[in-house]
Order: sequence, then structure tokens, then C-alpha cells
Amino acid sequence: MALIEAKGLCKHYQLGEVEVAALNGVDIDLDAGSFAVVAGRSGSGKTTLLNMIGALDMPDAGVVRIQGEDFLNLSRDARAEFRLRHIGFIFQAYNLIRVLSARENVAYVLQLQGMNKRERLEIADGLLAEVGLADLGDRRPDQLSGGQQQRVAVARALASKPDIVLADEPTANLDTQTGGELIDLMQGLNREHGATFLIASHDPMVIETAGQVVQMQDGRIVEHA
Amino acid sequence: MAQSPSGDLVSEAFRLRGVLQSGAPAVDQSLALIPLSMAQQWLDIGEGVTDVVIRVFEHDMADGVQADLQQHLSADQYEVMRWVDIDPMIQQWTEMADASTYFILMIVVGIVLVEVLNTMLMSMHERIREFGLMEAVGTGKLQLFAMMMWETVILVMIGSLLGYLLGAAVSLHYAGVGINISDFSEAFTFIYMDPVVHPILTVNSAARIIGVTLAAALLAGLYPAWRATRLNPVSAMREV
Repeated sequence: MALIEAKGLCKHYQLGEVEVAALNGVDIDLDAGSFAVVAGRSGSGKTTLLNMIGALDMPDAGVVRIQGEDFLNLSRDARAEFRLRHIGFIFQAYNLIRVLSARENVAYVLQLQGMNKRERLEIADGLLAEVGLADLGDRRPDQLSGGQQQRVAVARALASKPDIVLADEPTANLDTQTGGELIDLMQGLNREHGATFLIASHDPMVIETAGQVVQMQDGRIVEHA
Repeated sequence: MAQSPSGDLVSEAFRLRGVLQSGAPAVDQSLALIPLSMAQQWLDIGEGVTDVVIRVFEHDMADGVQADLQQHLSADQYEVMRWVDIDPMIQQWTEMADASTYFILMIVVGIVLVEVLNTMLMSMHERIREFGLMEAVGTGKLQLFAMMMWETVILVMIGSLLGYLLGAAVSLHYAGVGINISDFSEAFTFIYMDPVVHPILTVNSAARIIGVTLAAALLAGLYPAWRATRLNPVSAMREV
């Protein structure tokens, strides 16, 4: 059984009087341990697809299952709980909580899971060391570079040991070298932890490194290699 | 010149020993004080008195003292009256003062409501991306709501504490030196009162204002907290 199964996903947005099909009957299966990239130009539906798989947005039609569980029919709170247990997120704009230190940002999801403070901070320190930020745990996001913030976001995404990590344009705000280092880091974590990554990106460097590439255009998958 | 108990007009000359300045001109211009023994001799009433004034510690003790005295004294010989029976206008005046206090309290509560609502809404809007992120990574609605309410409580408790300390310092200062209201003495011609008033800081009054303010603040915090739980994480994270 595939880790992720999405069938017939449709999503339409109303822009003034024009209806835009962000997703138009998308089917996708992804096995555990994959390192897959959803590629395509801006507006092709990459982010919308990730939002559906991440239970952040609801499709107009279709189903999404993670490990066989259809979470789209759950209540809003139950979907939040589902995300907490099964999905890690990396966003283009890092999206760290600015009043928390790097280690507190990483530990936040573990706090939501009810883990005690000492244990969660130990895990956060371990993850920060893995992403190369062992000495920067006490810094707040505004004291870190963009690349460092994105590394903290990677550590946070992995903290709850999710089934899948969804990364939306993770290198878009980074320079080429830093972006390359981030991709190397995620590939390393994919190999060492067996973490499943699904990345939405139009960055050629990211696409080159992918084990699978799902090419999207106008809300449809046009190639899956 | 005065009227004796038998109805005769009697007069007497006294040596002026001093002039009272109570701060209430109407009182100063109409009242003369003489020793009790001299008055008894002048009016030829032996050791008798016409009125006995009993001073109680708190004005609301007057009812109980009146009931006790009425129980022990003959109604044919003694008339026991509370201060409000003697001059009902004073009671109305104090009730009006209380009403003014409550009116000011209501205005304060209204200001607190608006200020807390404004502060918490601003706080929510400034962190809208963070709320979106928090919900995205698994924070539940109740947890977001509770977080916002705790922030409101902490904000109001710190504000109340600072306000109380400042207010207490001012009250204690004026409790010592007093507030001179003799400039307004014309307004008190119907009642004698000390033109220098000394505010009293009581636990009850502090607890009442802090309690009402806290309740108002919590009420005002409900709406921003509810708004935070209604955010769509995807659109919230797109906010700039």
C-alpha cells in the first residue's frame, strides 16, 4: 500500500468572475521513503496539491489517504491532530515563531504532543545538531540567516517523526549555495531516517536531485517519472 | 438669645474667645459654641440636655444602634433618630456620590473593554502568520483560544497590579496630607464636613475595581481569541 494516495483531486477558485482550476483531477501515489518533487511553473497547482495532501485545505472533489486513512472528512481539530502526528511542513518563508528560540521552535510540536520539557529540548538539540546548528539553539529567528532559519524549519518538520515531510518551495528564498546545502541536508535525512519528502519546487537544482518528479501544468499532472 | 424649655425667651452675654473657621461659611456664620454647663445654667435646665449625639464608626452601623436604643429607651420620652432621619438630603447626597462613582467605574470598564479589545486584536493581526503556522503544525482551536485568553489575563493582571500600586501610592499620600476642598465649601452649606478629606484605601474597593476590570478584560479578550481560532492556516500564512 502506498504511503500517500490521492485520487481525483479537484480545486477551483473564484477570481472575480473567472473560475480558476487549481487542481483538475489529480491522482498521485507515493511510497514510504520517497524523495519526490512536484515540479511546474507558478500557478501550475503545486502548492495547492501540497496543501490538500497536508490537510491544510479541502478539495472540491477527490480523496487523500495517508497510510490508508482518509482525513478529509475529519473535523478541523481532528485534522490538526492528524497533521501533528503524521505530517511535517517546510515553508518557503520559513515560518518560524519569532518569539521562540530555534530549539523552542523545534520543540514546539513535541510540546503539542504532550512531551515533557527536558525530553523535548533534548530531541530538539539533537535535531539542530543534525542540521548543523548545534551552537545556535538559543538564537531567535531574527538572529539567524535565511539558510539557518530553513534548517530550523527542517528540524521542526522532523521533530514529531512524521510519515511525510511536505516542503513548499524550500529553496526559493535562499541563494544557490545555501539552497544546494539544504537539499543535500534533506536528502541525507531521507536516506538516514527514511523520512518521506514531497517537495514542491520549480528550482532545477531541486528537481535534478529528486528520486521521482511529478510534473504539473494547469492543475494537472502531465508527467510522473 | 434663645428659647428656654418653658417657652420664655432668655438672653445672655458671652465673651468671644475665638472665631471658628470650619470651611463652610454658612456654618461659621450661624453657629456659636458655649460650654455645656453654661448653656444648662443659662436655659435653667439643671443637668438636662435636649440632644445626645452618638457617633458610630461606620455610617451603616446607625440602623443597629437605633434599634438597640429604641429597645431600651421609652418611646414616650426619647426619640431615637438616625442621621438620615434628621436630614434625608444627606442620604440622597451620598447616594448620588455613590452613583457618580459607579458611573465613573462604568466609563473605566468601557475604556478597559475597548483598550483590551484593540490591543489583543492588534496582537492577533501582527502574528496572523504565526497563528496560521501554529495551526498548520497541529495546534488545536482550543489551544489557540486558551493561549490568547492567557495572554489577555497576563496583560490585564500586570496592568491591574501596576495600576493598583500607583493608585495605592496616590491614595496613601493623600490619606496623610488630605485633599483640601475648601474652595468648594459653598456646595456643602447644608452639611458640616471637614474641608480636608482623607481618602481611605480599603481592600474591598481595590478588589472591586480589579475584579470588575479583570472581568471586563476577559470579556473583551473573547472576540480576538475566537477570531484566532477561525483563521484559515493557508491564507493566514500568506499574510504579510
